[in-house]
Amino acid sequence: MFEISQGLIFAVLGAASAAFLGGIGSSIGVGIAGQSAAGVITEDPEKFGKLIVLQALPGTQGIYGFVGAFWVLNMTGLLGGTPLAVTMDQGLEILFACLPVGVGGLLSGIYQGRVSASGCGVVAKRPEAMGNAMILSAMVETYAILGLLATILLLNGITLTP
Amino acid sequence: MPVPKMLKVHIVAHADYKDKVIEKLHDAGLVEVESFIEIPEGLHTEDVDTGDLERRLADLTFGIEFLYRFSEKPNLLESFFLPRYKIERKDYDSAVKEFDFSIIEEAKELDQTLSELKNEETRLKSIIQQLQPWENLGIAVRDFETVRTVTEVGIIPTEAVSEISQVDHVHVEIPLSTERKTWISVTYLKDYSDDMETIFRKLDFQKVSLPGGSEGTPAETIEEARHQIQELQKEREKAEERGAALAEKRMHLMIVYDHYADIKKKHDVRKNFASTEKSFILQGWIKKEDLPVLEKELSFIDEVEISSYEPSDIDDVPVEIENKRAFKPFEVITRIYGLPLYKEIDPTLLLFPFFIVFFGLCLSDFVYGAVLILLSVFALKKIKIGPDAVLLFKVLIVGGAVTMVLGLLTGGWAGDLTMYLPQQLSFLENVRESLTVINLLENPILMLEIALILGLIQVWVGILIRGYMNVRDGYYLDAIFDQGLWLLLLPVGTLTLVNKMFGVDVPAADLMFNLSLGALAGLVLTQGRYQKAKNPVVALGKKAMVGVLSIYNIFGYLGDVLSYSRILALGLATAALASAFNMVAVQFSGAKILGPVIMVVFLILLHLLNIIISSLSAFVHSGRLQFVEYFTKFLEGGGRTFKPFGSRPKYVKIKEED
Repeated sequence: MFEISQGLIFAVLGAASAAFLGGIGSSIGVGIAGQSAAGVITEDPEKFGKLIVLQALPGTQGIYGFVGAFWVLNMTGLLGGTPLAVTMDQGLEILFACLPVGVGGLLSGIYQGRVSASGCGVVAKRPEAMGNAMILSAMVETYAILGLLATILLLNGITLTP
Repeated sequence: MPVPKMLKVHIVAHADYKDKVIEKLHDAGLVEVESFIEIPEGLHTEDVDTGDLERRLADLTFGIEFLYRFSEKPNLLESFFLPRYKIERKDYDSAVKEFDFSIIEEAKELDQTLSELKNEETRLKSIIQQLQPWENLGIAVRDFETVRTVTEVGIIPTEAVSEISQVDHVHVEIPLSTERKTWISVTYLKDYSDDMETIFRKLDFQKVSLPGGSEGTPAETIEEARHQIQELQKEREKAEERGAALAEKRMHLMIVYDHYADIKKKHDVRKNFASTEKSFILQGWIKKEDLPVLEKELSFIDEVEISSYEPSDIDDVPVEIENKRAFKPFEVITRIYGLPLYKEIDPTLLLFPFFIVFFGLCLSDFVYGAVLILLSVFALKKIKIGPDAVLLFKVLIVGGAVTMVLGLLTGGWAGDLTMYLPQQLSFLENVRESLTVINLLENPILMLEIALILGLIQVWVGILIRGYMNVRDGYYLDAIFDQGLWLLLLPVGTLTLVNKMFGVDVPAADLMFNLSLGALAGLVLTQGRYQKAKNPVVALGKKAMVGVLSIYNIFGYLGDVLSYSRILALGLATAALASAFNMVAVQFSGAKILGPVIMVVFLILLHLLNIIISSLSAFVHSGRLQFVEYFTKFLEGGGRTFKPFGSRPKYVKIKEED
């Protein structure tokens, strides 16, 4: 039983890295955007509502990472408290399947944060262009979404026998 | 769908009526006045000095912004939606009439006072900070030099303290000492000055001069400074009360700002007129349907001539979009992208069904849809919001309704919340299961296929619209070759691919295959038809090459369609997050005290969070699919917005009298 479940270690590593890599990406992204937003607020506190939305946009990578982690926990039965047997091969497969959402989220989060930060500058001068700033920022997020999709499709292809 | 027709107008009138014409045009708000590119021969333009108005507006802006911090703040939601305050016409008029610019002077003076108070407070605080180590020193500053003695204060290394204490004829006080540094005062007879200087140098004694200008002991000075700070704070409170009192008039400032901005607009518009001695002419744009209204408005003048023209190709025609009431909210989405060009079409109706379905699929939750509708209705009824935000919430109401339907089909009820319901309500779980057609979490591949098919449909419709525009404009061959062939290739090619690569049975597979080949051949043969060269052989070669290269567009379309997979991914993220939240919240139900209460509170908070995040994503990404994948097929965009000359208030809106 013990030997057969060693794969679980890698599955957990996969879930953890999906969550923490995405989380780092979002933390940095939201951080960068927040600094710009704070700069705008010093001059113009009335724009707070708009800026907080722009700041929140690079936050989704962390959520996607969490969703990926949740998926792994769910399929390995870790959530229910009775983990399934995961072989070494399966464990490694799960680990690798988690990379798209993790690494994709890490990098896209940072760059989306930069675009959001520039977007804060747009809103400072032309508040009516809020929609444009949001769309520009969302362009970067596409690749985090595709990463999440790849991870889920990959995980879906791995079957664990109870 | 079509962009409303515009006409170019010239209005000529006697110079005596200039002010009246401007007033009428301003009130009617129908004509966008444009400057002449070339002033007609013999006419001149007017120089208008608005320097005084600009100064007043700048003053008012200062006042409005300065008083913001003393006034009642709008809540977060309201600040997001830039409310315009609705006021009665009589209040507006009286505010303008009774306004006294001395309030600006008061605000400026108050600003000055506040910054002086702040500076003084900072200075005192820094004195306190510098004197803190000397607080225990018993010698007053006025006694630092007496007839025969001198007192030096300074910092020396702690290990040197014993040495300096042993010097004869010296009185030492140590108000503060740490492991490494000691704050020390040394009192000695003036006769020994030279000796002491040598000792000081030897022991690395750093002289300090105490700040504050006070003559008492440091403790007294600190006490005094603290007292002064208290006084300053009292003064500041008084100033802030004054500010709050002034801030009550902030609304008046806003009204007067809008009033003066209107006056300035009426002055500025004159710069565009061309005049002779006795008459003037202005040029502008008007919606074709509004022309009779304009003629009626100006009919009170005998000597006025309004002539109108269809726009020519070189004109930069401003664009307005108009939709039926029910679809008006969706103009918000079109406007985010920007308006179409005048010769193009208004895409609002064309994006509506796609946007709303994509939005619903990204959320796909029965409960979330219902909450979204409730929140939007609440916002429309209870929160002060600007006109754009009203439209936005109407979009969200329709989106919420679609989300509810799609939520039923995909089995999203706040994720899988029905699974955790108590016995009496467990029938809901059966209802959920029986209504579910596709479970996202269990069968994501099926949903992915649906998303991609929807994408293919939207891309196809986009090409179809372009084809329609070509037919409308009389470019029949372009419509057949550039759009018709792709319209054929996309569906039959997809079916052929699915058949050959995945072995799925499709009806009339051979026919599909042949049609695909035919369409491909047609593209190769026709796409180079505009290539030209002097040498016929070169020309033929160019045509062939461009024809073959056009096939690469397949990858462009493939990429477009794959981009729609985000619909599945966002739907999954919403559902998975909801399930995770349910699981977390249910953990609390076991707690001994208040377990169920905590669980319910957590459920509400977490799901509300998910609704906000997921709706934001759903809105932004559904929008993106319209702009990047759809509009690019048939729109160039970048039309200039039609901005008729008229009142466009920044802060206040006068209530319409019914």
